[in-house]
Amino acid sequence: MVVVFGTLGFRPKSLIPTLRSTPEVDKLVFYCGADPSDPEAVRKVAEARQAVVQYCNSMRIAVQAVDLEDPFDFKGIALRVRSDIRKHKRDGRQIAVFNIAGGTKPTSSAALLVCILEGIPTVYIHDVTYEEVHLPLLRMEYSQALSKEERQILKYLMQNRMADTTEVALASALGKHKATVNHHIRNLMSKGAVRLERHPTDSRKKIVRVEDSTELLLGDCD
Amino acid sequence: MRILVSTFTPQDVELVIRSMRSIGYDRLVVLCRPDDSLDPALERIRRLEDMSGHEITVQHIYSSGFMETVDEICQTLGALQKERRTGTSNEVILNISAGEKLLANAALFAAFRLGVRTVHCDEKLVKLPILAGATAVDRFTPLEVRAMRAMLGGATLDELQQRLGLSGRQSVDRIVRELKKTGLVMVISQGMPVTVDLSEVGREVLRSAELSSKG
Repeated sequence: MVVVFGTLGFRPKSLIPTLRSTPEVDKLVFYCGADPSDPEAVRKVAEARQAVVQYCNSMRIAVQAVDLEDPFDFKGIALRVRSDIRKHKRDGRQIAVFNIAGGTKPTSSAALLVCILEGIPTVYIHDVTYEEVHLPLLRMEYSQALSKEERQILKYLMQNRMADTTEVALASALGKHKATVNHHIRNLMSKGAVRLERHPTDSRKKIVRVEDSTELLLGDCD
Repeated sequence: MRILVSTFTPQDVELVIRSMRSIGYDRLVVLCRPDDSLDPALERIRRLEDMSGHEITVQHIYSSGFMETVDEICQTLGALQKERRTGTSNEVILNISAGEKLLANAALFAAFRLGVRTVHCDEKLVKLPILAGATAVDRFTPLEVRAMRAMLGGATLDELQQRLGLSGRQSVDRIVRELKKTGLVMVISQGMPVTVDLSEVGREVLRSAELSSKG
């Protein structure tokens, strides 16, 4: 099954051309949403959504319209898009392309972020000419940029993110020397994957925390 | 020096100000279209910086095409990461929440290309999963990167072997096979001799390699 993904704002023409240009499309998954306090935007997005669904019905393309609760929640959208892509991959679907032209800016950017992390072919539609621009994406595989020990540390911290894990506790949990773990933590800090926080009750100690973004990153390191 | 670089459009001035509040920085650089730099919204940011005794740097982005915009932004980011005049390395943090959609997305693409720490600053500050210093070229060996350079514009396998100074043909075959698997290389002539060239993705990776070594 060939699936096209897309983001949709006010203009069906920013998404439908990709269905035309992609052969053998069986399904479209698209993300849309509007600021509920803006009735005009709500109306326009609803109209665009309906137009795309009607197009798909006429072309006998299965369609899944994902109505984003908050189309400005960058991280939430990225996690949702990544989850949907991975589900389709696990189900053996071929994701032909992701059109990131439509939708709010956070929706489009979040989709682009996920495409880069997941290695999904991505297109952008020129605002004026409606020309499809295929982006030369190569999947960013951070497993190459992180050492085995760094990945191990991140995995442990993610699995125990509710706990206040000190550097000493981390070293003990991983069965490694404290100095070794400190070295890796410094590397992870310089890469922006973790940060140190003051311990809530003992100011001599530091808690190691994963950055929120590491959750999006770690899928690559599984 | 920590440099905050933010995409900008007048409608998003509050997002830029939020990033200024959320991220500690020494210098502010704004990426915007030439027309937007005349807007009173940018003047507001200038005044805020002036109050702290600093000036903002406004970098105009002229391109209208996506990849051309990426290239322009990369030039700016690369130059900021390493200031040639002083030879110092700076820490650059990029905020992509402001600016028109093409500008923001092109900035995100550029951030991945160069391995620049990036945030999306809206109601919340979201640090994006871009590892500082890590780029697409990191997953390839130095020999593979040399091979990509050597085949740019097209090369037969014999020419590639010569250019790489390899004694055995097997090594060339293996490199080409691996790069083909990742979609970086395409065969442009199946007949004898076989000729290969970089795909668009391959050219992008090479570009990333060149910018990384410059940066």
